[in-house]
Amino acid sequence: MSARDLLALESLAVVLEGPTGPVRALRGLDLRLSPGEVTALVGVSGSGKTVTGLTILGLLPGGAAVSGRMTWRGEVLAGDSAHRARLGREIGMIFQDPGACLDPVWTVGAQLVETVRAGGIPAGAVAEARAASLLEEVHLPADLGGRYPHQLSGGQKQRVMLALALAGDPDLLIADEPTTALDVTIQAGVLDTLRSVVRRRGMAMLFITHDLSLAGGFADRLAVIHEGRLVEDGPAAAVLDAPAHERTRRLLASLPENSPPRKPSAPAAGPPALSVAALRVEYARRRGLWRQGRGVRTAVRDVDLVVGAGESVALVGESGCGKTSLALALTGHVLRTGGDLRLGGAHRPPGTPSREAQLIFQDAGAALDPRQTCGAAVAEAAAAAGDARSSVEDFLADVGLEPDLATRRPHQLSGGQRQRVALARALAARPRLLVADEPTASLDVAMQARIVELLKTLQDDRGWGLLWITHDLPLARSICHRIVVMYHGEIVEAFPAGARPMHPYTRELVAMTPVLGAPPPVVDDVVGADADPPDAGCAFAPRCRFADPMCGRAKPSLTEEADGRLIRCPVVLRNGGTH
Amino acid sequence: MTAYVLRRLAGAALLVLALLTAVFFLVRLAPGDPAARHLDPDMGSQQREQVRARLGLDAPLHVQYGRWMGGVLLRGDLGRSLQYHRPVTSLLADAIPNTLLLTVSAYAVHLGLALWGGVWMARRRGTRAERGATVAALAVYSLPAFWLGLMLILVFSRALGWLPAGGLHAPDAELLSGPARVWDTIRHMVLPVTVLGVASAAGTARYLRSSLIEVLDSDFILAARARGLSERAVVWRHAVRNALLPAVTLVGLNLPFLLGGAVVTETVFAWPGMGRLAVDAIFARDYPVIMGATAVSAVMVVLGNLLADLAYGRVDPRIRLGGGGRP
Amino acid sequence: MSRGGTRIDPGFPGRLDTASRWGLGLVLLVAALSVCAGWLTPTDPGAVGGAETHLLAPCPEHPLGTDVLGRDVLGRLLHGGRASLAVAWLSVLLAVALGTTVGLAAGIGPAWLDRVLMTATDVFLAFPRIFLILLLVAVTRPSLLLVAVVIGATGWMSVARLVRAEALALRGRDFVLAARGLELTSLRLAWRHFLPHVAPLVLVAATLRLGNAVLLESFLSYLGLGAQEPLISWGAMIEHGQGHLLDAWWLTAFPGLAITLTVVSYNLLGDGIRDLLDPRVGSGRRDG
Repeated sequence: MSARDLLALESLAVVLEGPTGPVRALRGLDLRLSPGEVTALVGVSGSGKTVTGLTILGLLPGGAAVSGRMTWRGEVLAGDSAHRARLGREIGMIFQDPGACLDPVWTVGAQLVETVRAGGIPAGAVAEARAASLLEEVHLPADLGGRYPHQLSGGQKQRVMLALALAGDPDLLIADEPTTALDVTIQAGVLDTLRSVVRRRGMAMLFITHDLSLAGGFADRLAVIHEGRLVEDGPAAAVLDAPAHERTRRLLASLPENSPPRKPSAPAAGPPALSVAALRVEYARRRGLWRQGRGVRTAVRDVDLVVGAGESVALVGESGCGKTSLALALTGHVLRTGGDLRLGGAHRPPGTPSREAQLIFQDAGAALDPRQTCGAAVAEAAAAAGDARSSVEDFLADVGLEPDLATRRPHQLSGGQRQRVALARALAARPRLLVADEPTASLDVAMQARIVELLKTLQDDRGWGLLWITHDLPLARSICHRIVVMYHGEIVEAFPAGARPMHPYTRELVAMTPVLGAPPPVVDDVVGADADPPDAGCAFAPRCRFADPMCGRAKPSLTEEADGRLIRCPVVLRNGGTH
Repeated sequence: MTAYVLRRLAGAALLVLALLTAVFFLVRLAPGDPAARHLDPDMGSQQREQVRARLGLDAPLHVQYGRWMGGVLLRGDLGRSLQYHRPVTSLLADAIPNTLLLTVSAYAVHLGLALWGGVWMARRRGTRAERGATVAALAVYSLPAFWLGLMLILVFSRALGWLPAGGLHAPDAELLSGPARVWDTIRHMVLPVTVLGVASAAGTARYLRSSLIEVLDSDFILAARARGLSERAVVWRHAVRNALLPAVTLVGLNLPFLLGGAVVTETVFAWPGMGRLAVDAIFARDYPVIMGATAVSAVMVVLGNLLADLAYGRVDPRIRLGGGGRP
Repeated sequence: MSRGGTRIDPGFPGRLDTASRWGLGLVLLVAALSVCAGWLTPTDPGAVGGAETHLLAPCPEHPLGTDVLGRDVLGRLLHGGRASLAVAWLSVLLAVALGTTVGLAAGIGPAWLDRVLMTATDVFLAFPRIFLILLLVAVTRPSLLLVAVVIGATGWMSVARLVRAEALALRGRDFVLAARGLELTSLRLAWRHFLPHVAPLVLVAATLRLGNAVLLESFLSYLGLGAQEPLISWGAMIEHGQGHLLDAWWLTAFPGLAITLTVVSYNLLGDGIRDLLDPRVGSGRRDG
């Protein structure tokens, strides 16, 4: 332990009280943070990374047993009142879900002023001025202080959290997955703000994340945590070039950007798994006294989509683009207000769920009935398909699970196992189309890679169509033959996985997605991404760097190119696809 | 916010109509004869018909309903008491203020105790003191209220002679001066208010305790602590305020309970309120009074709920300002 | 569809805590005493004694004293439990059956059904329960069976609300969507997926209502609207004894204690079951 260390953790071990017994969250962690240095702590969920942050703050839930040594500038941190006194003033923290971390009944400004005053500044003009300058520092307009948290967007809320954490001028900022819940473009903006703030103040930062690509572009040091211990710790560039530990190597290999894009498939025999024309999904806006729909919100407008048998198509878009509504409409859980839907050539009426189109959810834990054994869930699906011959064990074996899992309940399984059970159940229903909504988003990268491989194998074998919904473009490329991009309810581009995107929005997505080894994206307009779409003209025009005056007036239509690509941008077409 | 208010008002009005209808039909459809009080076993069938005609029971059901609803809504007429031969509304007008006096005082005590107790228990959760308090609170709300009243009368009135055994005021109250009269009323109120307020406070305290514990475990309290706010600020300025938010609607939920409790208390302490009026009417088979009292009590509950909902709308900024939920 | 954090229901009961075990023990004790009352008391509890046996204070022959007519209080106490327990169980079963059906129908079925059922529920909930009970009892002849039916008929509303709220919450959960995706009928869905989730809540509610039903029955018997002679009820015993509140305190004190003890036992048990089945995992704290 050197004298310049800001924070030193030695053999830190933490045992938490779990619902079924004690859980050893940390087993002897050694970590040192130096002033002004950004350290990324990378690990999968359950590895202990969040617990590390909470332990440093001394805010573990009651009943936690901590052993080992923590020192701050040489003085021991013991979880007592002296330790608590450092919070906010010397150590600050921002969390993953800002919405849950802000008090809903106080205005943003009031919470800022309160935090500023907790640092010793007396009430009045000085405190108010400080609050205003903090808002400015995180690139928020000063008048935002009068708003309540529920009136802010996700990116704005996260910036408010940052401002609150900075109020006490801490020397160390702990950021626990600060951008995981945000869209890629918003994420880029928030990270940009975070980076500039940290550098300018000369703060140290502990950046906790599961995303190695994100960490790599951002941090000075990289530490990998696995099962409560550090398995890798060193300068970021060195670790990424030549990882010392097996775990790190596996993480690197599992990154989607390291897998080749999927080749276009040969056209399969038979009717396409999915064929949709002019699909429209509208929700009534509840206004007025008598709940009449005064105005409708169009979530999906005029979407044409075809997924051939045995083909995988990715639906890429950010939150609010309508991809979830589309998925629900395709599987019949939500009423479509227009358009023709055919599964395997057969017409499907709107609003009725169909066994032929199965949904795979992001959260497998929520998708399985907690009171049903896994075997019962799979059997129920098989029975619904009228399948009396195949056994539950067969279905489980197909997804690589041991038959004895059939008697267990979902909570007894790991996240990856649960998702595979959900997959087995969906396949037992003998669907023509599988619609997967971010199915691997809550899994770690290694497990994600395995599930992806599993899906590819099963699909080649059985020939069902796959619609994979995600916001992660590199992942989409490694799984799917074709990529379809949605923005504000419309398709703006469709292209084969190996090709380069041309639409300005897709290109921005690519630019904003953190890629290992590449420098972090430069963000011009930090807050523009949050705005509502315009009424006339192209929906993307306000954010588009290639926009010309015509873009704001005429609504562009989807044009088909020679090689089967679709694109909704007259500017790009005019310039022959180059820029 | 305006839409919220209007919706609630409309809902309340419809509810009142519905419950007046319910009262009417419940009495008609229950087994037994509303005219029983006046029918002698010796009466011939013709005489019975006359009695029924006099009470208006000979008309078809929908006519009776129309008459009754019309009477209530247009003239505020709830019929005449078969016992006292006075309009039901006049009897209720005498009785309701006494019930309100009792109920409101008891509720104030109830809320104060429940709040204090709930916060006390939540802050000490997990300790043995808290476990003991939880069990004690449970024992208190398991007591039969009427028996508690009797026991209190036994101890404080019969045995010790400190407090009167019942009634609203002493028999010679008119002769007392102003302050002495007030004091006399207060002395008469102590035991009933204790029974009505304290016993139920235990239940609410437990509810507040769990609500508060849930809030204290939440992420935004964690974030507040992480910002360096003092524990006192965290608990009182943030946790309690958020935990109490749903408790405002608790006020509405407690109203039927409280009015029902008043029935028990008034019976035991001979308190001249709505509850006692209703119970006496049962024994006298004075069904207009029972119907009237039931209907009015339900209307009071609906009004109370409405006020609570409106208060909630003001207090919660998400409703007050609307415009929520951007992704 | 959700994004982020998994909420894990263990679905397995753990163990009852100490206080609740006492509750369970008491529940069983009271039930046993009531059932065996006949064998435990040598004399007929309704037997009237001569003047010298009236209003005796607790003594070796009559451990809890005698009443105005010389009847042994202990014997009557043991028998009195039967009325309260019978009414409580019957009324709760009625209320729970009715409430669960209404709640499930409202929660799972079409929107119009929900609207209709909930309006009816709200109307009845607006009445203070006692008024409703008194209203129903007013025009009929009082009896214990009537009391049981009326208590049940006025108690289903909150069960219905509870069940409906849970059903609505379940409806939005992904596993229900997944089950619908298998084209299961509503009935099958209700039976296989909703009921197992709703059952624990109903169990807790039922146990807690048993205590409340005992309180209601005892008050109604106190008013004379419940158990009629020669049936014995604790509430009626209190009414008989209140004329001698000070000089024969045992006539009112012991029945009241019996009621309290019984209600406490059900409340303790209900609390314990609720804590057991409460999925407090996933209270927002991430596990990484």
